[in-house]
Amino acid sequence: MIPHIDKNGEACIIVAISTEGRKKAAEIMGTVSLGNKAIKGVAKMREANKDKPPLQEKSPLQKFMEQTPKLINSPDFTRKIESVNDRKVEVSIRQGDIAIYVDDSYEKVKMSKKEGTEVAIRAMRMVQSEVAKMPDGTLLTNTPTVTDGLGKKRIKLYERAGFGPPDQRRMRSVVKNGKMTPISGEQYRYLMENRHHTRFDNWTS
Amino acid sequence: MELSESRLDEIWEIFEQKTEDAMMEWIEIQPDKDLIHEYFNALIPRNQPNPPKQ
Repeated sequence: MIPHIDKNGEACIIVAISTEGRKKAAEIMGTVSLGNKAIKGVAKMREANKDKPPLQEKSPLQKFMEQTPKLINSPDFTRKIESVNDRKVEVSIRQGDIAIYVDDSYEKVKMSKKEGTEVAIRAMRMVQSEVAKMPDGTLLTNTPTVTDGLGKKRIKLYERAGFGPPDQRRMRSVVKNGKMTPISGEQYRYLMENRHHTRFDNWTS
Repeated sequence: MELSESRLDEIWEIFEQKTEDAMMEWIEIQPDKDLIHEYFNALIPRNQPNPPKQ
């Protein structure tokens, strides 16, 4: 690796193994120093950058933003209905918020534990298949009920499914490659502050 | 009694790999199947208790 100052006076590094490679690099970059002149180049770089603050490592939030597609809204409303042992299981996503209904009720109707598991597994598969159709960056949310003594278990289940930790009870997820990936409240606010979104109505802050 | 984090990892891996029927069969032969059922049953909220009669 050879440090250089290019024709615009910008610091750069050229990786070149052979003399031929160095020549080629010089043609492309328009470098003014090469080979043994590298030391001179370093001195120039130092001089050029003496008044600039030192390069800082990116914060975890910056890195998260770089790895996250720009946020977009989910479709206004999608609904999927299937049948599990004669139970009607419905998954609705309204303005990004996921809700699951069994026999048209938000709360659990009378059913055995085994039946409850079958319904839950089907409901999660239905959510996965809806999410698979959504573009990268789609923001999804849910606000799990915590008043029935099952809140901790429910939150864990949602976290495994790809939601971030609760933030004032709201859990958030961003679609990446057709799958849900977690986003915390802090990460969400950072993306919003930095306008890391497109076509985005703030339905779900 | 709660399922451990490593057990949850294992359950979730099975969930991602198996069909619904195969998943149900797998749960039924697990020694902690009651806990696994409780875990999945938590997805849908319970009926709220009825308000006390006047």
